[in-house]
Amino acid sequence: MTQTGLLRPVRRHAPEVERAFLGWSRDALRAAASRLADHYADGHELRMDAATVALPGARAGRRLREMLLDESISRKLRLVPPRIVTVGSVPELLYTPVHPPAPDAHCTAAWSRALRRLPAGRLARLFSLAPAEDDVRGWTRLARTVTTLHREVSGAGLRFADVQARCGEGLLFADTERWSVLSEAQALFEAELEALGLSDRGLARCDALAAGVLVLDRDLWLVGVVEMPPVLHRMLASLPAADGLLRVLVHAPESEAGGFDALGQLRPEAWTARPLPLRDDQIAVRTRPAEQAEEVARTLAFLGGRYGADEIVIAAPNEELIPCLERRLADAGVTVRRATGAAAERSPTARLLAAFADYLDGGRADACAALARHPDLGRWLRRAVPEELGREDGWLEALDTYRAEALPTHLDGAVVRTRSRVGRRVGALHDALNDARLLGRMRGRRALTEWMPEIMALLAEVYGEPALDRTRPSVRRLLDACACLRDAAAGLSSLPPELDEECDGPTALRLLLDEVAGAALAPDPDAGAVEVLGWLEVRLDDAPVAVVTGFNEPYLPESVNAHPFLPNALRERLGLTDNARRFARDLYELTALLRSREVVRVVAGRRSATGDPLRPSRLLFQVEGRALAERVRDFFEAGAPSPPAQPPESTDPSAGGFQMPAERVLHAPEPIRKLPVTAFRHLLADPYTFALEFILGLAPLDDRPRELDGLRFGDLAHAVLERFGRSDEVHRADEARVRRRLDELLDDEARERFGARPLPAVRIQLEQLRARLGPFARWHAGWVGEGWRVVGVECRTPEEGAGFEVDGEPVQLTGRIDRIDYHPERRAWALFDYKTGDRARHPEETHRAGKPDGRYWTDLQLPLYHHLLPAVRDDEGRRPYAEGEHGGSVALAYIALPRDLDGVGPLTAGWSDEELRDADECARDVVRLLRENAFTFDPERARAARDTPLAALLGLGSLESAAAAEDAR
Amino acid sequence: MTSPAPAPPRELVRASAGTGKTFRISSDIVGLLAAGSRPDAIFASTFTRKAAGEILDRVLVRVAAAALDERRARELAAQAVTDRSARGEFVPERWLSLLRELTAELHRLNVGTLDAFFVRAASSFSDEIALPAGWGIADRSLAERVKAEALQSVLEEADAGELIELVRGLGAKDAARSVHDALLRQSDDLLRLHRSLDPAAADAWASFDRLAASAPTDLDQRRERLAEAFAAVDAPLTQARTPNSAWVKALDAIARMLREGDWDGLIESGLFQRALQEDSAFGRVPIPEEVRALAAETAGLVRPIIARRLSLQCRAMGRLSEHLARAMDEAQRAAGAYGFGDVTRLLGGPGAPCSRADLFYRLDARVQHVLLDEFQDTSLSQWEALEPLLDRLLLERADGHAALVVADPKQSIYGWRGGEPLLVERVGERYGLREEELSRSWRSSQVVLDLVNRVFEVVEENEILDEDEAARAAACEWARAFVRHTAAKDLPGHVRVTTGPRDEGPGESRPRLCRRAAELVAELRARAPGRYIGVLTRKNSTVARIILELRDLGIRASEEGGNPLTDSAAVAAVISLLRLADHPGDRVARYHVARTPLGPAVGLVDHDDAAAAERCAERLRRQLLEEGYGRTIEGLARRIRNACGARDRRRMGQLVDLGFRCDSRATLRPTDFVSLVGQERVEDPTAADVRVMTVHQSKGLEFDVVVLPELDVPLSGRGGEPVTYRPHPAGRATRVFPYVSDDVRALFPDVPELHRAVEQAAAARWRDGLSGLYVALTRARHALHVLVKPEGMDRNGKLTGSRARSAARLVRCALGVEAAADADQLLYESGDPRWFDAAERAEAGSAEGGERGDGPPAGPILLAAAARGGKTPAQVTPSSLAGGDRVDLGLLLRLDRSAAERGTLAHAWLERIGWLEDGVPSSDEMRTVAARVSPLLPADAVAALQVRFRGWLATPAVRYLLRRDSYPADAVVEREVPFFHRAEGRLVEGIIDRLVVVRRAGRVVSAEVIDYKTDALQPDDSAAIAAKAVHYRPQLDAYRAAVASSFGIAASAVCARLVFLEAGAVTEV
Ligand code: SF4
Repeated sequence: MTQTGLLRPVRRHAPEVERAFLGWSRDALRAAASRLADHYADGHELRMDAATVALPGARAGRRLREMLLDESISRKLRLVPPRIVTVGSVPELLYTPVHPPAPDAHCTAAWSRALRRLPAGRLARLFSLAPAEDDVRGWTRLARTVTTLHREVSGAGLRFADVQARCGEGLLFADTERWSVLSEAQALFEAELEALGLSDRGLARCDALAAGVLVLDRDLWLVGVVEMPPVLHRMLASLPAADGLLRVLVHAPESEAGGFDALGQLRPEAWTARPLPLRDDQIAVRTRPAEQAEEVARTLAFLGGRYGADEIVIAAPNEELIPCLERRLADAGVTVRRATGAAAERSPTARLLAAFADYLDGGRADACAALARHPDLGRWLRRAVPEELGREDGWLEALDTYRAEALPTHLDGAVVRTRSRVGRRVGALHDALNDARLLGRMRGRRALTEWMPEIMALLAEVYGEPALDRTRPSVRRLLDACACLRDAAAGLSSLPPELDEECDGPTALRLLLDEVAGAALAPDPDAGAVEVLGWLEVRLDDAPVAVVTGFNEPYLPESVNAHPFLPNALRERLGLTDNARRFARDLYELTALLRSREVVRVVAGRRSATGDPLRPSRLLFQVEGRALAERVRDFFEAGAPSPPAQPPESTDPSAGGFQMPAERVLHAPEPIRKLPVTAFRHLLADPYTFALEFILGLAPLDDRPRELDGLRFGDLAHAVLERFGRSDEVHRADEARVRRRLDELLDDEARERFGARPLPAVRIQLEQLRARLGPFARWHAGWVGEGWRVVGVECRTPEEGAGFEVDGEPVQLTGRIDRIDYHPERRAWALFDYKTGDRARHPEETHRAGKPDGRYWTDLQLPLYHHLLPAVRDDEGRRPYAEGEHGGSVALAYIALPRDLDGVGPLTAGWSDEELRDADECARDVVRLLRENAFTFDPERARAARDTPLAALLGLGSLESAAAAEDAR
Repeated sequence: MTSPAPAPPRELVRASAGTGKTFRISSDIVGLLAAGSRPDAIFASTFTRKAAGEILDRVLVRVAAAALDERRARELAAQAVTDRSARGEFVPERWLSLLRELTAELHRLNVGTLDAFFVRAASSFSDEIALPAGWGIADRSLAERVKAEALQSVLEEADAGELIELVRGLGAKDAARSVHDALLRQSDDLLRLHRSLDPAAADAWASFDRLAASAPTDLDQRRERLAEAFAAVDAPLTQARTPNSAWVKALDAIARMLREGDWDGLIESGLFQRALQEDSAFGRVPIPEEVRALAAETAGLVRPIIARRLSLQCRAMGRLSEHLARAMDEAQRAAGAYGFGDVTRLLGGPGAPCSRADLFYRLDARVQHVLLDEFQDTSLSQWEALEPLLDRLLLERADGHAALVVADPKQSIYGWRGGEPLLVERVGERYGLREEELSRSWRSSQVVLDLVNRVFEVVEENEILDEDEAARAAACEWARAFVRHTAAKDLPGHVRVTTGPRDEGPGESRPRLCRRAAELVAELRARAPGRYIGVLTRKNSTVARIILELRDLGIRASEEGGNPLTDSAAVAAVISLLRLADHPGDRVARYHVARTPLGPAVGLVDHDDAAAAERCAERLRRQLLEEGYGRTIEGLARRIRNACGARDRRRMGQLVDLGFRCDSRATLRPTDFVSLVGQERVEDPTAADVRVMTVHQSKGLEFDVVVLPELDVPLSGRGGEPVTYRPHPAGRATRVFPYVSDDVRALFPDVPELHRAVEQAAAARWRDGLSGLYVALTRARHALHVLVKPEGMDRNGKLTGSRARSAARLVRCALGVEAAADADQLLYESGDPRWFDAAERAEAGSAEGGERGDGPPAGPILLAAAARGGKTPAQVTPSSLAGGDRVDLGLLLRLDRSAAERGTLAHAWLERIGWLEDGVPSSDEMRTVAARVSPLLPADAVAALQVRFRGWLATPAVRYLLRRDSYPADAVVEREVPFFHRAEGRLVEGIIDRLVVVRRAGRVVSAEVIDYKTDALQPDDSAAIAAKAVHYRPQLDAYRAAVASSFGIAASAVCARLVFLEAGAVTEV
């Protein structure tokens, strides 16, 4: 291994470097452009193609291009532009690598292999938990961790072995062991690349530096660069003959020369003790992000139209603030543009791929539901499967309904294809998703290099409409995202066989997405927007107004702590950027800003978005004398509590146009002449809610039930009991047989409804129901043994209902009696309604309320059965009562199947004839009300609906249910 | 520093409520700094981030004040500098220089929560404790999603029978419909149990195995025999000489249950239970020996059966808990989402970072002094993570290291989430800390403290503890830490205990009492305007209820932490819209949207129009996806602005904030955002003088007036969960027991751990309960109003609540006002009802602490017209312009780069050609170029390309173009010519392959741009060539414009040519 000369002292003030000062110019880049132009002006041309200009960042580079163009125009000279680069890529100008440099994807893959080749015991020194051998993603993740470390360390011109050699003495701990493992890994990594005839850029730099084979053969300008990778610094300092070629333009006046070294780099020691020229009136300390954003708004308002949006920049070292800024300024009609762009992994395209991966991973129903909501998929479905899914009332409702009813965990081939429309549509959706054009191609295991073209083809299929017009912003964004994914895919698809990996489709998709994580897509151009810049970009911008937000630790000065491999003390020793350097740098950056702008405002916060206290920036305290104590006091002293004030709008008629309900009286389109006996309960409780539910037909739709709700549970029980009622065993007095039959019927019904893989909760609920059916079987057998016979099951009124006279005019009652039993000897009838609520409630309890001496009706279902009885018929059209023996007693009862298994059995109402007549009278009142056809909102009654989905429509807040959920925690 | 400073103090301070512990800790920190400590040598932690912030504030403010003022300098020296002899040196200048050192190292001063410290340590050691790269602390919704995922995966694998056991527990006669929540709760319990176990404990889940092993083989015969025997017992006779019917029934039942194997029924049977106790009676008749013997035998029969069931249940729990823990680990790892508890647990695991030699190295801090506040809330796992650090500082190197532990076991209200007050004792002993007691309250008036003293001084003698030895023991233990409270300041005060109205029904909700509390607040507010009133409840739902009641009275109260945003009607409508976006079929949402001003704004006015709903939904989903929640909702807010009142506007603004905040992790499901909005509490930023919150939330706060309307809930919680046995009370558990009823427990007198476990759980609950009451009673500065419910009379004229073990009754017993029970009665009063006349307005430094003014809202923002024409023109390359506005995505997504790579190489070779007359590159030269330009291109590909290259150069059209003699004599050729050019607000940057410039008299008069293309084209396919030319035209136009402008000539003077090398064709465009 090559031993690099460590920390060979940099020759300060190397005579061959030409250093010039740009002053505290606001327009440092323009000044630089003008110097460049002076230097290269020659007859008709500004011929700079022999020069390279290095800047701290890409944005400054773009700006400089414009400046140079302006120079050429104003000088009327042809511009032959220089090469403009960021300082990070300068080292490659100085040497020729022995092997061609490996692309990034190769390097990651090589690290991944190198780590895998480490003996397990050694690897455990670094990572206590190693991924499984075939966990490609896991290894890639580790590889990324090490790659980052490798980049940083080699950025100082060091190999891991060098760190190992230097991390011993003098520090609080000698971390030699881990660095020795890392250095072994690095050797393996290098060997991997070498075998492919490639080299790693970082290591190549180290080697070039050590071998002293550096040459600078063209003009190189460093413009405004105050910090560079240490390796570059050392390279430049050791250039044998850079005479006349290397030039440095420092963004500071000559008088500050002492603050910079020969290469224009900050000398931290010259800065750390300097006071910052920040006046008290330039500082604002505000509470939370929202108030900080308010302060920014105030600052802009204060400018009073003297500056344009493009003359203002905002620095936001703490990204948490950006959303608040966006929001607050948007409120004032000012658009904010994040110059850093948007995360590629959050683009609709990337998220579609992620949704694909989730769905492919086993075909889970929730993944399918999420995927189905991606509008880009929607567009494809309509195009690709127009017959089944093309119509507007689309597949979502079908999918939702299906999930709500069948509660499946998975939506694989097992889609229950009933003949219903819902089933067909869901089936069609399933087929479309798994079509060979779409995800069908993503099945199985393949090499990464084979997956990548497949994924690109998938994208082309989904997005490849015939004519994409790139002038449309959304298409531009789509293209950017696709290009970004393509570049990443290109890297993976070019892996040599030695580094290629085999994996399944979802993994391939995710590896690709991992690859673009961290990449940014350019924001839409918007000349009218105020830009939010990264902190280090602000200085070389030329806007006269700069607002610096997030003036707090640890954002400004940036400090990095708790790094697992590179604690600050080690960084310091290795010459990497450490906290002291960062402090000096940020002090300089802010000084430059303060010196060069017309307006600078600095905003610090006391609290984070979550209300946690924040510490102010240490830069705030770079003041001399007592002023320090005053600043501290001002920041930290909690002021007098603001006097409590009742918010003014407590008397405000709130909610303007959003007040619910919107209509205080509802009407049916035409008067209701027919209604089910079950409706009376609702009408008695609250006619308004009744109207919402039954006239307007409002019902929510939730595709994510976690279990069967009361309604569906009851429905299932009814279905089983109905089947039982039709079976032969219903006439048996043999408990065991009855029970067995019920068990079978439950299984059948469940299979038909829920398929093979319902949610686990449903599986348990089935058992709960089974448990309830047990005691039912016992009761039933006993009942039959007593001589009772089931004569009617699920008997319904005919279509037209059963007449019920009110004020000389009949209203048609409809309904269904779950079960009609008859005891021939006793000449007794029993009308039953099955009840599967958790608590067994007696008919008296459900139907009437009030004090003993003033009972009133709250439900009329059972009493009204009397009126249904003559009309009801079973499935085969037989009318058990009308055709049976008349007369005899008629009992009204529930058969309760509650959670308390001791409570299973009948609950018989004991109403007297008089009471039943009273019930009829009550029913007539209800019908009269119905005939008025005006359903009026009554806030008191509506309160009962507080916890129902209708609450929002009735103007009931959801305060309580949220709190109750927390209590349940 | 000067003379040898005294050894740093090591103290355990027991600080009662309001006794100024923040002051104490900040003094100690200043003292350490003054004695020369580096800031990073100090490690101070407390329970909440807010409290940590307060400590730091105090330190800095006090030092700053001392730096500015002589008197304050002296004061601070006296309060903080331990070395008396050095105090004189602490003049303002000295404090100023100390302040300078401190502010310079502000980022290294370790004052924070334990959680924050653990997170930092975990980041430093993430690889050692197996945290995945990019891990973070999950917010609530993410944490829940992860948990749900883990649970789901376990449940899907689990055996249905096992799950049912889990859900039903021992309530075998219970078959509830809803099981999901129970499952969730059970799995939470299991996970918690699993993690609370001593990893070294073997067989933690096997407590019943031994007992289960002895199940009888001849069960059927034996139970039949016993049944017969019970049936044969002669029931005792009544005075009327008839068989005692209760006995008859009971004996029959026992016989039946024996036959049916209804063991649960049997165990619950009163006769059976009594018969197992000595000297007991049933139905006032002493139980005869015969029956006792039968019962004992039966018990012997039943025990192994029950034990077997319990053992199976235990094992099932053990297995499930293991699966859950594993699934949870996996889910968390996959999502990189952890809770603070997880981090702590990992830190306390094997190889605990705090015990590692490289701890300080990695943390970049050489910690020497520890100050731990609120230590009673420290959990066992926190302790395990921390202990090695303390050992190292306080045991291994005995001197030079200060320790201050501040605790109040009386305020330990976090037992339910792991807080372990017993650790206070332990830490004091382990490190030999000197104990100190703070009991002078700087907060409350003596009147309030009197009540506190009366309630707690002899709490162990309170009647409500009668007949419950475990409870009394717990109370004794609790009361040991109580010292009579005295007021440090002479504040006026007032205390009142009254009954509220009577609420119907057995349920826990007390609507009328809540109403009354609200009325009381209204009254107090009217009488003592401008005072802070705190209403403290036990449950969150009561908070919500009271807020609603207050709202009805026209009082807008703020809730600690705020309410969900859906309390605004406008927000509620937007939420419905989001629901609709997710479920176009949701008719409730449709109706809601259509009937508000939002409907017209989004094009949905008829809730019956399914197609419109679907369109609206998809449009919204697309917008949410492309622009994000923040921007989308912002747009909506703008459109409905005029229909909103001031408050709605504010709440909408907050919804927009939330949208922006969540954008980076939004899912494809709008309803995910909806549920997040429902969970997130957002404070309405206007200040309110009435605040409603739970007692837990009130910790650390204080109010002028406190109203306590909910002391009627049981003091000791409910129980009903699995319990654990801990051999050492402040140590880890070694055994787990499922919940068993007292009846069942009575069957197992020989399992002492079971009984201990139940006692330990009860003690912990009592401790939490008493502490909660203590916290509630000590929040008031001046006035305290306790509202209790009146007690009903039962048929015998007994008070129904007389046996309740509630805080309300505890207070009443302590005050001796137990009797009486009418609604709205005064039970106790002391102090001055007009205290507010005498009291100063809210003292500064209140914990309530309104923030300092944030200034008035900003005025309108005016911006000048863009001065620089927008400062970042888009930058494009000419080649990206090819094809014009139409893009072929298939082309864009092509991965095969070999064609492009060959093109690049061909260009590089062509660059070598000036004029053909001057020669073409040699083969060697070409290979050298290839090695530099396309190192990854295989040699044979290079060779093949070379052959083709020679072929291109042989075609007449190309030859013509490259020859000097095709141009005027003074033409100059340039190759690979870079340029910048501005057009249509864009900066075009590119490189021209070949440029021939013709000058006349030194001035450029014309130029020719030549662009090489390597597209695969046939020489005779003129249609294809023409099509390509059209495709490339925009690119060449850009070249032309650039060249024209850089030479200052007309565009018409620039000729642009495409050279299709493969076809040998040259086309002018
Ligand atoms: S932190 Fe969030 S809630 Fe607060 S202002 Fe910002 S975006 Fe809004």
